[in-house]
Amino acid sequence: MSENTYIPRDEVVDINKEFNKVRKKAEKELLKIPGVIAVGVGLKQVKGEFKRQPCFKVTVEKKKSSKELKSGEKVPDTIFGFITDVVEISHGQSSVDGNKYRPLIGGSKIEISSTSGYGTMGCLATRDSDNKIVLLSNWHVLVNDANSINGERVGQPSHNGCCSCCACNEIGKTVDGRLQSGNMDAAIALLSGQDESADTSPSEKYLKEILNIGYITGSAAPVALETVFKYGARTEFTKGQITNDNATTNVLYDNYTPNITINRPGQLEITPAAGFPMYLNRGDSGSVSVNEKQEVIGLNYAVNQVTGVGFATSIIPILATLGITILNTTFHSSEAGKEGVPLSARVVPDFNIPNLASAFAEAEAELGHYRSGKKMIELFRLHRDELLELVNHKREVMAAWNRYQGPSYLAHIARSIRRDNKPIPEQIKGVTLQSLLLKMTAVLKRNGSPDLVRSVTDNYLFIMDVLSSGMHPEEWKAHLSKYDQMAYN
Amino acid sequence: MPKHRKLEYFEDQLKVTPFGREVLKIVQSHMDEVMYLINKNRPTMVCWQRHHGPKFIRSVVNSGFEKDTEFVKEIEGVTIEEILLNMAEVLQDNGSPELKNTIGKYAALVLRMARETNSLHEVIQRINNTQILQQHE
Repeated sequence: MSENTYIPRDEVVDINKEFNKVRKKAEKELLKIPGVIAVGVGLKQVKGEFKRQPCFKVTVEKKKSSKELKSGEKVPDTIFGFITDVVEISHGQSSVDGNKYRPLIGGSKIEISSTSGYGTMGCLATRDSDNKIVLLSNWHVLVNDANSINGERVGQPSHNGCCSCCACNEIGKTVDGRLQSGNMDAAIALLSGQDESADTSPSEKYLKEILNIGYITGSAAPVALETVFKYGARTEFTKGQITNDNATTNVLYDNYTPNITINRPGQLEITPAAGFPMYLNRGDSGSVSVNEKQEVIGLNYAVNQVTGVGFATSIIPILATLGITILNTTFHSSEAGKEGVPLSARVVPDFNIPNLASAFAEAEAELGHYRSGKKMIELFRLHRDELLELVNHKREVMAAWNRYQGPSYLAHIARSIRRDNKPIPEQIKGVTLQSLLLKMTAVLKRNGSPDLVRSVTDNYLFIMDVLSSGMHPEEWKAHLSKYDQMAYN
Repeated sequence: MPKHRKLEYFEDQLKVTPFGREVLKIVQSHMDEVMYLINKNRPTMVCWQRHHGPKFIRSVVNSGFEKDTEFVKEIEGVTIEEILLNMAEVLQDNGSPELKNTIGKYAALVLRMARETNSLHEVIQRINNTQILQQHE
C-alpha cells in the first residue's frame, strides 16, 4: 500500500455501521448482475494501489472491459450512495523462527510427525466440551491427508517422528478440523499432559499469548478496513489491513497428492501495510490475525505470493464449528508465583539475563563519570525492587511495558552498551523510545508508591531529555556532560 | 473575540519563525484526529473531561493575548502537567501511528514548557526564541 490507508478503529466501526445500513440491499441488487459472486466492504483500489476510500468490493469471476460487457452486466459506480470497486476472484497458495518455545506460545513453528512441511501454531483455546487446552492452526498444517485425520502427532518446533516425546518435541495430537467442508481450513490439536494419569500439568507448559504481539483479550468478529497484526513462523511479525471482508478465494493445496483446489467465499483479504512486503508467506499458515484491541479476528491460511496479500477465515465460524473458545487472559491460572508474567518478559530469544546484568554494570560505571549520571544511578538503585515488582506483577505496568516494546528496547540498550556502541533503533514495531518513556511515566505515576511517584515526577523530563538526545550511548554521555557543565559549573 | 479570530491570532504569532511554522504545521496536521478522539473515542473523552480539559484550554487560550494574564496551573487538584501527561498517554494509546510518533517526539518539550512557563504568550515567545537559539548553534 503506497498511500497511508490507516483508519482509527473507532472510525472503522462507524464506517461499517454506515455500510451495514444498506449492505443487504446492496448485496441483493449487485448479486443480480451476471458474473457477480460476492459483495464485501473494503478499500478502493486504483491501478493496483489502495486508496483511503471505503467502498463496496464486488467480486466477479473475470473482469471484462466495458466494451465486452453487455447491457445489464455492468456494475454501477455507486450504489445507495457508496462507491463500488470490482475485483476478480483471488487465487492463493497455502502458506508453510525455528526456535523451541517452552512454555508454548502462539506464533511458534510447529510440524507434524508424518510430513516435513511446517506451519504456525496460531493460538491456544479451550475445547468447550471438556475445557481441555487445544492449539489452533490450519488443517493443512496439522493433518497429512486432505480427507481425514489420522491422529497426527504435533511437535514444536519440529517432530522427528520417533515415539519418545522427549526426543521429538511432541506437544499434542490433532483431534478435529475442517478442510473441504465448513468453508474453512482449520484444525485443533489437543495439548499433551492433560490426562488424569499424566504427571505434568499443561498450565506449566503454555502461555496464553502470541509472540511479539503479547497477551490476547479474546476473539471478535473482523471489521472491514481495520488494522491487524500476525506473528508467523516464516515472516514473523507483520501488519496489514482488511481490504475486503467478503473475498472469494481459490486455494491450491500442493502439499496433498493429488493436489486439490478449494473455493471459499466469505473470506478476509488482508493487504500488507507499508514496510511489510508480505502479510503472510508459506510457513505462516495457521497463524492468527489480531486486531488493535488484541482480539483474535481470523485464522490465516493462504497468500497471494505475487502481491503478498494474505487470506484468513473469520474466527467466529471456526470457534462455533470446532467448539472452542480462545484463551483470553495474560495470566497463568494455577501456578503460584507466576501469575501475570508475560512471555515477552521471560522468553525472548535474544534476551540473555546475565548479559543484561553485566551491561547495566558497565552502564553504571560509565554514568558514574558524570554528576547527573550518578543521580540517575542512585534513583534506579533506590527504586529498583519496586520497579521490577511493578513491571513483573502489576497488570497495567506489565501491559504498558510489553505493549510499548520495553523488553526489546532494554535488550537493544544492553547490546548497544556492550557491543561497539551500536545505535538503538528509532522505532520498534512502530513505537519510539520516547513513546515508551512517556507511557511508563504515566503508568508508574498511577501505580507506584508515593516515594516512586515523587522521584518520577521530579526526574522524568530529565531522563526523557537524556534518552532523547540521541540513539547512541555516546550521545547520551555527551548530553550528561553538557548538563553537568550547565548545572554544576 | 470569535473563536476563529483567536486561532488566527496565534497562527500569525507562530508564522514569524521557521520553528513556529514547524510547530503550526504539526498542530494543523493532527488537529482533526485529536478533535475526533476527544469527541468520539471514549478513553480520550473520559481523560479530557476528568482532568478538566475544557477549563484548562479556556485558560490557556485566554493567556495568549495579554502579557500579564497567566494560565491556571491547577484545577481541583489536577495540575496542567498532569493533564498534558495523561492526554499524551491516552492519545498515543488510541491515535494513529503518525500521531503516536509526534507525541513521542514533542511531549517532553510541551511538558517542560507547561512546567516552566505561565502563559501562552510566553510559550509562543519561547518557541520563536528556540529557533533563534538553533540558528546561533
